[in-house]
Amino acid sequence: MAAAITSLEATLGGSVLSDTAVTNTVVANATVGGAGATTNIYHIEFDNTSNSSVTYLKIYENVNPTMGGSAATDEPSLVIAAAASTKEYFSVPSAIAHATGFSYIATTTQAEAGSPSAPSNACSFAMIYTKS
Amino acid sequence: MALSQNNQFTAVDFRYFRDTGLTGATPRSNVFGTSGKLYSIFVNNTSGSPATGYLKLYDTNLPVTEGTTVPSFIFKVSANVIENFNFPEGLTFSSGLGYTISDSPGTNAGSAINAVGNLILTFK
Repeated sequence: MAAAITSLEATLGGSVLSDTAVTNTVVANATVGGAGATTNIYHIEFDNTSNSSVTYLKIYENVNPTMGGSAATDEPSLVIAAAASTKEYFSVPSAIAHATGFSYIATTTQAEAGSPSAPSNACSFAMIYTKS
Repeated sequence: MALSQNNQFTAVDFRYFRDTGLTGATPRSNVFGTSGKLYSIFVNNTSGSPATGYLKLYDTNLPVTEGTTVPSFIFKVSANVIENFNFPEGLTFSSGLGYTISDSPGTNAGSAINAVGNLILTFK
């Protein structure tokens, strides 16, 4: 036998965020540990199977974005459109870095707006990430 | 030794689109000329003097006007990073696929960035 165990230098994702009721209310500062934590996103699942319309998952590189605000950080850094009755998911082996943490929302309003509309039913959202 | 092979029953019908000069100055409109699903994005943002960009994808078969046409998908691409986005079930483009990149998130046009070395889309 010549078995060997090598310690991994880093894990792929140290935290799993799971939110089973995402709607048009911003979930601010969602990173474990709070503001200022760099978040590296490796995997996202966005479940819109309970709705008959397209719903947009919007992630902001901002711990407290203003909906419809004029600052660049009030604009989403990541948007996923989930078609009606569809679950979207994707992986990013090199991660998407968000230097200041993140916030998120689910809405049927495609454009940035001060009062984004809610989906008929809440969506589910899961994310694997690390913070540093 | 016994070798075997199977017949390929379905043709390989994925389509690839490669862009080696994307700066955001000129949006790309309806590049596949059809609806379909996007299965992967490879983007190499390490060439020259790279800057962080936001890759914006538009579900439309109409000409894209950056800053006016609202993206259906946005992906942040950091400077000096090679990113590979994988969508196992595909992202739905019910009308067509257009795209651009800029230094600004959201719908904003922002400014062009130094050219992304390589952008490859896999579509069916």
